[in-house]
Amino acid sequence: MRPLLLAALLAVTGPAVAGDRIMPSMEERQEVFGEIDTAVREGRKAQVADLLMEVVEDPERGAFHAESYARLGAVLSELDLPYAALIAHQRALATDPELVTGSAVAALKLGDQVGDLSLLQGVFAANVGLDVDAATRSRMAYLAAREAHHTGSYGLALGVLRMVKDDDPAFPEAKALQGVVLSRQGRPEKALESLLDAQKAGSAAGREQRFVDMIHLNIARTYYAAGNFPRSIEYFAKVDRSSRQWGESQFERAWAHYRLQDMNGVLSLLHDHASPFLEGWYFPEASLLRIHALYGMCKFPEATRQIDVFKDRYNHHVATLQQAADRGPEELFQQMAKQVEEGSSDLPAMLVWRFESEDRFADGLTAVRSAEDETARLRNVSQNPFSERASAWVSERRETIIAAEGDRIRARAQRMADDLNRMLADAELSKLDMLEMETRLYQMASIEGAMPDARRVVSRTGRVKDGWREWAWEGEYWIDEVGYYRITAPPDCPIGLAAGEGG
Amino acid sequence: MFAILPLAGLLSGNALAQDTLDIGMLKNEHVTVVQKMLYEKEGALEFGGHLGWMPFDTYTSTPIIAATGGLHLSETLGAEVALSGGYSLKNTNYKLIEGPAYGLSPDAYRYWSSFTANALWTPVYAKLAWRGSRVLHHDFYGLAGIGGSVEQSMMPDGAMAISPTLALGVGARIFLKSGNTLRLQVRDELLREKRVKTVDSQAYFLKQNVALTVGYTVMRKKG
Repeated sequence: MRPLLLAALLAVTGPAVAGDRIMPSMEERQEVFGEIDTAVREGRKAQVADLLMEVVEDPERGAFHAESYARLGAVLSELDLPYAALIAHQRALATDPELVTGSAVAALKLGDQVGDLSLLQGVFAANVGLDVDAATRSRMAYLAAREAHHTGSYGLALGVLRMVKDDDPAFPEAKALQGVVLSRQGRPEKALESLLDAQKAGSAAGREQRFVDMIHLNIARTYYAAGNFPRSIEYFAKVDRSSRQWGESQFERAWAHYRLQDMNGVLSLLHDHASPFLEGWYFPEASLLRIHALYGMCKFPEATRQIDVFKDRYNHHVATLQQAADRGPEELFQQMAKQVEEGSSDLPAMLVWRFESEDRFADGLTAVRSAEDETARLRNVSQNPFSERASAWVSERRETIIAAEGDRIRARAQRMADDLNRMLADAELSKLDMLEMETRLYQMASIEGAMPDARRVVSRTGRVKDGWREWAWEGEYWIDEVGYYRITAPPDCPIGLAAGEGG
Repeated sequence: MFAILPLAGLLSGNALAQDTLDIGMLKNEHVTVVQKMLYEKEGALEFGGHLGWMPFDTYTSTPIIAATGGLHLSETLGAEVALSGGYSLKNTNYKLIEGPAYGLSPDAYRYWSSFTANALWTPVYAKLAWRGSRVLHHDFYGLAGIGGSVEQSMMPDGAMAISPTLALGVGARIFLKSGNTLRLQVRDELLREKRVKTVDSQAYFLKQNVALTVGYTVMRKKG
């Protein structure tokens, strides 16, 4: 199975340059590397680096570029310049991967050291069939799959993920990624298998609670996509209350209750999002779903009131988010970095929330700090041609990461501002519908003298279990009560006044 | 005129409809908080040590030490035994009376020890917000029990008195994160004390030993 898969992937992914290579003669090699070899023998590392830099910058000596980059990677590593070494190895692999397979191992080690494995994703995705040892191929496969997922090549991502070995340190993450990709392909049953495997592997590997919560959230989402709402609810409920994903899980769980027509369940879960403790979080959809559930229960006056609350709560955020979206990527990155490192920034809390504990941003920040550390050290090295160029490589990489991450933050802020604008406009229109329904409700109540039999949507009469306590709620939010609200409101829909059923 | 209004109210549909004007609203009474109790007592054994003082006696002031052990039969009911020991000191009243101004010896009895078996009733389990952030869980209980006390006359004869005792008290447990508690208690031990010296005039005295105690108790679930 594996050789067949490897052959198929090789056909798709390269190696990119294999077959086009013209092997240089020994004389040509001697001409290029003779002096370099002598300098290596004599231990003149800086000079070796200078000479190799000359080779890689000479377009006429293109046949020697891959090897020169690889050798440059090795010597820069010995000079304690891991970031520049990583870039050299990455360039070697991008130039002629078959010639420099050893660079894959070295690059992985350096990527771990400086915290920038993402630099290798592209080159590994293009050369996943490289002839390396099984452990290295497994690690390459995971990074290649991340790149394929990033670019939307789901088929390739799945194929490559099958090369990740069970004993790979990233095996739980690989299984989780497989689940996500399958889910994106609209194959929830298969996705569930992968996610449950990821859960098992994560548990065996002692993964931290954040990983476990993320898996639970993804399993819940997949059950939801498969239409299995009760199981989806079960998994949403497993997300730890102290987790950063908890608010999201409560909101999405409310959707599952909504699909089961359990409007009291929806209101109970979303009561959390109405609390002041979650005020800084970005959950406008939670407010709208709450309003929709109230509408479904014919609680039109309450729904109208909640529209006003929603507008009050989110109106001023549009301008704040738009201001953030208008800032430059560099500035946004630096502010977010300040938030992560010092715990404060001038960015809106609801924008910060998503990035401040995100792995991708954390990796980017680590890489940027490694790059800054290395460029600072390079400034102290005597002015050699290699140090100037290595410094330029590392600075360029730093700027690329900052631009990419800053742009991601900017795009997110813009999307949030646009979505909020749209939701606020829609809410205004919904309010008109609500007012009309409210009028009809009052008219019917007035004619009947009392509410006609209300349709029963969900009856919640369960007794509180032993060891549990039911506290009356008097309108005061306590932080320890968030997540434990239970709403048992009777629907007010008289027969003949149909409100949205949802779904 | 005023008599007609209620009648109109009974007959008029519109007036009735006005009673239902709050339809379509979500009310506070629709919302409850259902939480797993952090500090369950049912089935738990509670052992503790307490330090206290009996400050209210007319002639004595008594530091005490006590040990308690009990079982919570339910969240509200528990049974407990308490063994206390102390040593009454002469207070300023005593010293004044026995001083040169009066030259008398009051008929005071020194507290030595008491043992009671108590029933505890804990109707209140509550929480409070400490400075708006930390939430402290606590409960309030009342206790009643019977037992015996040992006291000794502070007069030179040193007559001993072993008295049947009725204990009544109230207290509060503040639950710590470990599940153990800090326990504050006011306990009144009512003694029917037979004093041999005065048996001719009054054999029995009703004496109250009111103790304020602070204790640390350990909660252990059985099994």
